[in-house]
Amino acid sequence: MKRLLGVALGILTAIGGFVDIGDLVTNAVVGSRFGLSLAWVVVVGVVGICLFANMSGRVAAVSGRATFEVIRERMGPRAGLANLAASFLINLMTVTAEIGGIALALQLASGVAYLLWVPVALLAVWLVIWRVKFKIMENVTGLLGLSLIVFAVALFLLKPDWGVLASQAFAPSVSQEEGPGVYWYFAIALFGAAMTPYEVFFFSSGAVEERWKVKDLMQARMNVLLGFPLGGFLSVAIAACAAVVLLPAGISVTTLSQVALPVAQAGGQLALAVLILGVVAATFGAALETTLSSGYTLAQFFGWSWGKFRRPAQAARFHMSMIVVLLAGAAVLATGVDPILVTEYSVVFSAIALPLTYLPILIVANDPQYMGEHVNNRAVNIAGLVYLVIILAASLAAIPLMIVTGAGA
Amino acid sequence: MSQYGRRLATILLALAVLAGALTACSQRPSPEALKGPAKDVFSAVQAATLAVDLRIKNSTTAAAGSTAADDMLGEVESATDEVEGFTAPTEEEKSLRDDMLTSFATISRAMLHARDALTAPSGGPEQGQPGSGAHGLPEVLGELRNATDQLKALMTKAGIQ
Amino acid sequence: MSAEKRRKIEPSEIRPAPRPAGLVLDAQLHLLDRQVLDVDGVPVTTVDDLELSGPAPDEPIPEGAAPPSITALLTGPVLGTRIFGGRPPSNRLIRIPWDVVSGVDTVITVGVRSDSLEASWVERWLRNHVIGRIPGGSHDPD
Repeated sequence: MKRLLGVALGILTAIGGFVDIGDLVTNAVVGSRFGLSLAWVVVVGVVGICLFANMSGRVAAVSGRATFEVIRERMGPRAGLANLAASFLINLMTVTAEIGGIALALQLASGVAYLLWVPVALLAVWLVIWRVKFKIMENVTGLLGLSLIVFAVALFLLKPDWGVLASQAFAPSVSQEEGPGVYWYFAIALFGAAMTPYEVFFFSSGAVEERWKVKDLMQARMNVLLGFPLGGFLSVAIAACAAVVLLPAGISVTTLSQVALPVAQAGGQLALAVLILGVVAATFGAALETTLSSGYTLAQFFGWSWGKFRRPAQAARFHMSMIVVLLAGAAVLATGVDPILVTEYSVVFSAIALPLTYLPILIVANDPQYMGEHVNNRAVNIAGLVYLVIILAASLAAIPLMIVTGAGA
Repeated sequence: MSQYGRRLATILLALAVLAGALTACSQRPSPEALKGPAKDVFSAVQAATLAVDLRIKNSTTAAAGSTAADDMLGEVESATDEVEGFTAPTEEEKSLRDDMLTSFATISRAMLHARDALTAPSGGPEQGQPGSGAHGLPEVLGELRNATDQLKALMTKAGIQ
Repeated sequence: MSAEKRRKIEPSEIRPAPRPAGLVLDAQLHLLDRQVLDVDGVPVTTVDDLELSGPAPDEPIPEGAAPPSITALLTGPVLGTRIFGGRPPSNRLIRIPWDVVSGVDTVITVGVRSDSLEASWVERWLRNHVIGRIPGGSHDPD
């Protein structure tokens, strides 16, 4: 019974933890402008992240080392440093976006100006990283993030024309108004939002934090294989709600307040309250994960002592770097930049950096010195290579499309 | 000057002239250029209308509604700034740009009323407070709908769709 | 000329030389960029470079000189010079003396506590002056 509860908890946490501000905003924007004609990208992204999260978890469980430690050892300091620089900058953008997301959701709840919430969000995120145990942190934010199921509920309450939605999803076409350039730009953005690099570093470092062994792999695999797809389903629900309410009205999403409108229409103030709870939990959880991810990548590259299982005094450089990251994110937000804009750029830049983050994992997962008999089997390798091609294509096309379409305007 | 130096100087001069020409020409209010701001404003006013509508049905909170109205007001403001920056040498272009700006101004006014009305508690504000009486929620809804129709007519006339 | 025809000796028949005692290490593969753990298993740093004894690269080697040996593992800013070129002056190098190294495996273990090493000075400084001063810094997470 206890075992079953543990399994359920893991899966639920994965679902609730899948959606972050990037998924929320990108799916809402895409739904309001393209309907469900980009839903297939979410499917591709979810399969990809399942594949790579699985691999990185296996590397951590079998070798006892987290991904970034192994990247430097196997690929040398130059490649490791390039990887670190790219990942760190993108992590920083993502942390900024997530903290902005927390503040925006709190503004939606209270009407109090968003900038006033930023220091509150910052302090809250830091306090949890400073004092709260890893497992508790994961479970609470994951379970509360499940509130985002309200999007699926809202979709049913809206009584949409399922035929129209299905035809958009299964027979995708580029509308006259938007054009192929913008379509593919948002496909890349959606892909980057689904295959967030920080997730992989967090997952593998988390595996070391929780001291996974080979016998925990089965559990981890189930969490990933069941949790992430259900999280992807939530993403599509977000897009569908926007497609049903906002697209016909000609409203294209640019703010979080617009994302809430379909849910309010479907389920009134109660649904709205659940939504806000879900958004705060999801973005808070994601802010924790990305901040920890920045700490993990730096500490693992430079060989510092790291981990939430250690008291902060025993991992001083680790905690110091996270404090600096949080302060930098807040400083960027204090300049008044729109966090939704930061979010939209962060997902595209995540897509651009994907090859740098996934290629090393594929290489290490095939290395018998670290993996022993648990190296990738043929099927996983073929899938991994296919995805590498997709990732490279997305990465190379991102910047030209950004220039041509004016960042999706 | 050497031959190489002369060629370099010519290229640099050409680039400078080109840069000067490009920066001197700001946007002309053609239907193409106006499409972006017009659509943004249309989207914003539709969103504000939806927010007011939901508030009337008590489906959304004052906080969420007023946040939406505030955000949408910001959108209209930045679209207005963009169109104001267009240069309009011909009479026709000038009248199109001014019509567009008038429409945006009407929408901005309606949205200000909407924000005030939405900030009020659901029992309705007291008489004389902003958001009451002639600026109550149903009236604001009508105002927004009129402004939207005005904008739509203007967009059709200008050939934006 | 010999009476019996010499059979051609195959390469596989040549007996290998006797293995020397001890561990054979490749500096690039086994030492550089490896994690260093102290006697309690606490990470110290990664190996960014190695210091070798013996004559400097462009100097002539005197007769009967001992072969170069590893005197210390290096860490810190020397990573920058390793990647981009150059060498910091000797008094700027942060060393972990080779004689404290107790094991070489997928990680390098040293036989002393991290705090006693010069290499952990940033960690100790931050602990004493920043992290340790923030309330809750010395407690286990709850």
